[in-house]
Amino acid sequence: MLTVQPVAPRPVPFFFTGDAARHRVSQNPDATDTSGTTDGHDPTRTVSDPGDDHDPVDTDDGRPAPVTVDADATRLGRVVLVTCRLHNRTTAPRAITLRDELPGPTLPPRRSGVPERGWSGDTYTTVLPPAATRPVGYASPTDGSLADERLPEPPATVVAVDDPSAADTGDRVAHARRELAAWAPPDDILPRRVVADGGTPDDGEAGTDTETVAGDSVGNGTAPPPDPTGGGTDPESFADGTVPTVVAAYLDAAAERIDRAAATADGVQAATDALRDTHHTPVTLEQAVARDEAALRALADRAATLADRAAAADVPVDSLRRLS
Amino acid sequence: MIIAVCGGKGGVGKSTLAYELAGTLEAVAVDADLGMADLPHGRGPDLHDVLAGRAAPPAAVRGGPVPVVACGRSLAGARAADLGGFGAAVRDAAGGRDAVVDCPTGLRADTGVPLAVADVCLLAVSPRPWALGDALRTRAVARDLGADLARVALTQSETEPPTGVVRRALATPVTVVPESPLLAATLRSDEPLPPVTARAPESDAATAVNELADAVRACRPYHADID
Repeated sequence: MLTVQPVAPRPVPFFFTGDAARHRVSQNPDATDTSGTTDGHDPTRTVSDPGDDHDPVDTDDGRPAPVTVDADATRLGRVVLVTCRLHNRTTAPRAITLRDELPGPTLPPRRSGVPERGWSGDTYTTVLPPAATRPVGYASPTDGSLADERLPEPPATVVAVDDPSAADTGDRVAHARRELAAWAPPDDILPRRVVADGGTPDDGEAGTDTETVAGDSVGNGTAPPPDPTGGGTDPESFADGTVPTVVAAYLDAAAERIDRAAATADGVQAATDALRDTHHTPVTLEQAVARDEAALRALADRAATLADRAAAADVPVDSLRRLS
Repeated sequence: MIIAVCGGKGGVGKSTLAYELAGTLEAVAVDADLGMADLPHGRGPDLHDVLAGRAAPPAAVRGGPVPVVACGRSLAGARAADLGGFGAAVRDAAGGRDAVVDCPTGLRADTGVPLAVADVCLLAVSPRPWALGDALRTRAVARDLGADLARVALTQSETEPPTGVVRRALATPVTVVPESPLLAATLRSDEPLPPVTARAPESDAATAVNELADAVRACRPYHADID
């Protein structure tokens, strides 16, 4: 397995297994995409598609390509799982960048919600010691419209091989968030926000948030305790230019649902984040937002009508004062 | 420069030291204890609001003898905070000054992230066996996250503090911070106080705080100023 060969001048030649036009071009004239034979030097290697023209190419002198990836895609429902083996057959450590070639978004492995070190978008960069092999895995959702034979082959390619001393040392903040235990208080100990759509478990507690997230009002204990009856509807109970607490609570809850619904359009990860702390599934969220839309439009009509009537209503203060 | 004041266990005087050090270095003190704030709070937006994207970082700085970035005190606020923006928020709030970050106890992500953004750290250790064990673990994490250990502060010291043991265990110079009513008053006063180095410059406590500040200043040539 260990092939002795002279260390090439940098940038290091690399050998790719896919479409040459999509790769960073090596300056080594030998690194052309010549369809090669199956690598017979690595007994652990699994060939996903034996005999095809994507196998690691051999150099002209018959030795295996120094840096290669074996990538294999498995469809599991609407997700494609990609398993790769990265090989570095050179005698020096190499920073190798792998790129996901699947059409969907790349879902890298995560810890505490933070992608594993080396992942950035659809690329993964790692430093491989000499004569080493590293497993890499990730997933990518599909919409189901792509037939198996239409999946890019190979699903992942090596796009760069660099001097490891120049490689990014990684984001320390991300490292800390990955490696250390989660710190945020769990959802369960927080008072639930009022959810104004019907049939939710929170309907029993009419009223507003028992704890706001606005910071200082709760922190200093200066905020008045929430009205257990759900806030007054008497105009004296709310300030000029504001709306009664019950109305504001519904509008806030609706705004939050609409924000979440809008966020789900930004890809699978955003949708997961948007739905993580709710009891909603995408289906129930869509239904809830549709009900919100109907309620808000009805509210807007009624509010406009009432506001016109309020403007038109003229209390004869002076005449009545004489009577009282 | 961002300076993290850490130490595994609670109650070793981290918050007091962070406040005193910030005052002495003319830096901003940042209360990063997202779940259990210690430093003076006052009114206005706080670190929870900043990390949840509801307020600009400079708006969370409270004036006073020592400028403080206050931390929110609600669990919901802690839950909504996104640690990913901590470094940028601290740099923005400090506005060119140094920032002294009071780290939470324990070794979770909320301690690790301040250490990851810090240039140097100070370890507060009390002379108890468990405190030393925690300090060793914290130092290992700090080293892993790229925060140099500038000094160890041996707090709540008895008459004969175990300076040699702590110095050998942590392989770092030790400053003994004596028990002092001056330091005990630092965070307990109704009105925010100036640092002990200004209140009682001749006191033993001020000497110790100055020594810690000098150790931090000595690290400056190795770290670029923060933006």
